[in-house]
Amino acid sequence: MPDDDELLQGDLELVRVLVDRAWVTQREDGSERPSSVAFLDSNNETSCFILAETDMALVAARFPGKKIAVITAAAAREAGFIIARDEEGGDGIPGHVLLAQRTARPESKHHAHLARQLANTARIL
Amino acid sequence: MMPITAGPAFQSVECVNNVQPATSELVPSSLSDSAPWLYSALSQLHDLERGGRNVPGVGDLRVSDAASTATRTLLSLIDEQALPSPVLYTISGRGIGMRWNVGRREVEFTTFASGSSVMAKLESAQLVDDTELAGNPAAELKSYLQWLMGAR
Repeated sequence: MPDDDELLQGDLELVRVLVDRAWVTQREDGSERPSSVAFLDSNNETSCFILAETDMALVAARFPGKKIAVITAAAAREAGFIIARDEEGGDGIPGHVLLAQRTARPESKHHAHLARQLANTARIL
Repeated sequence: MMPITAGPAFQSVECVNNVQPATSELVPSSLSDSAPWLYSALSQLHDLERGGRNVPGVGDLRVSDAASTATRTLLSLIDEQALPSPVLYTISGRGIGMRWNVGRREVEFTTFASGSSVMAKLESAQLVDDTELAGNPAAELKSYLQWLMGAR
């Protein structure tokens, strides 16, 4: 289990690359939001980047044409995730972190509920 | 018994002057007519099984054997023929997602790398009900899909 970086808090923004079109869905008003599956990972290690520390040009070059979900550290923590730094996991893109669910049992419906809760807070770039 | 498979190789069979490659033996000839949603689902699953890769910065988008088997098992338990085609997609960490939409209703399956699955009903993007699938989930599957089709 990765170590929580408790300094990553509040309005600090995290981005998740939505590589699959099915990871994007629509709200009632027609606006787009990420699907809950965008924040699920069978290994309980969902990759994100810290917006203020990463290089979005590198992200865009690595993932051309892909949409980006933006969440806050506070929303992730309210949904039971810890946030762990993982610089190596970014493969050259700085600011890589992992979200790991600590409140719910991994692969449970509660885990899926909390991913949905987090997805509902997100906006899309 | 070999699993039912479908994909580009199969799709090309019908226009090759009755030449029947071995793969055609794996697909019931009437499948695309009698249950087009199942043909679509199996084709998408086949693509996911072949196309996934580990993507640094995103996650492992390959599909585990257990998730693939669990998804095929779920599909085999559905006896409804008149369903819309679902959308299948990878879930990072080697899982598979599958979603049906009818109007404002959706039924979503989340299958993790271990093969364990969660099924959810949503209406207007709000969760209505969900369950972790275990044992023989045929009755629960039928109930969820009947609810989905009731939206028509």
